[in-house]
Amino acid sequence: MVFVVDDLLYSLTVGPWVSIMEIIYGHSLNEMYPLNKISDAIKENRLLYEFGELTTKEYDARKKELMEKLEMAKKVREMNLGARLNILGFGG
Amino acid sequence: MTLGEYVYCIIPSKNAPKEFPVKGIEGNPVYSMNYKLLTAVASKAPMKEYKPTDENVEVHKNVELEVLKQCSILPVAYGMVFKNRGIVLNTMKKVYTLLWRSLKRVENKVELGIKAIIPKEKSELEELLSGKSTEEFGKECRKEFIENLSKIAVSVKEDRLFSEKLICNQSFLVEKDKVDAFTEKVAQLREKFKPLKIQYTGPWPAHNFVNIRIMSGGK
Repeated sequence: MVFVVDDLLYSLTVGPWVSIMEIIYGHSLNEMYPLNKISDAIKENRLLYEFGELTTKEYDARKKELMEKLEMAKKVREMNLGARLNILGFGG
Repeated sequence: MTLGEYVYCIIPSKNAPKEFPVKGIEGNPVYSMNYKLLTAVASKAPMKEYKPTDENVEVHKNVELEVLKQCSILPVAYGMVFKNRGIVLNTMKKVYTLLWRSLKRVENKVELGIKAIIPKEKSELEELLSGKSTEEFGKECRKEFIENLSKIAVSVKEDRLFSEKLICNQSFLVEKDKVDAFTEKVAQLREKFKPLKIQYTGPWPAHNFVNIRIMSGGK
């Protein structure tokens, strides 16, 4: 992976380089704030509660934590909506 | 905040009451809006994004279940709020044929759901697993449920396993007069897979069998 990224970076001009940075940034955003995973965790929490595998206290605490994560993930995405990284001071 | 029309479901206009004995979002009355042979069940609600909180989802679900007691329903996705009555009726006009066909597809039918998880305490399951991995066992379990229950159901859907603990997540579209037979079969399967935790739910509106995004952006 390191080789491929290095290879691409050296061989490309500035414009595509910025695009690659955006792609990498997009991937890291998905890894740090994975909306699907958070949604699944919310569903799992509810499921385990309904099955009696979690107490109300455990369920409520986990729900609060997950809803906060979901809010954060949505906010981060909204902040970056349509924005381009302009790390070199031009292009975009 | 401006009030819009929050739509819960679509029903046939024939015999549709003007109001329903259930509270909608923010405790507002739930009423009918007719367009030709179809009726949208709605209530006044603020124009905003509706987060899927337990409380809000419960209100939406309660309205659907109340209406389902009286007639067949075409469920509308949670959180659909329209600016005004005119936009609701215009959207219904645009997709009228599609809505009508979908309603016919689920007419006199309900959705029933089955979920199964491996319990925390696995020791009781050892005999049932008989050396198989959880994945293998889950696969067999799903197959057996489908084989037995699809004989009674009109349609079956294998839903996504959104948790590692979930080994079975299936939805069945069943004619209302066959629900008792279906329930009996589920009881037999529950007995057979006893240490497994099985959740049998319904009757629900056929959310998993109406494969269109009803009234989303007017499409």
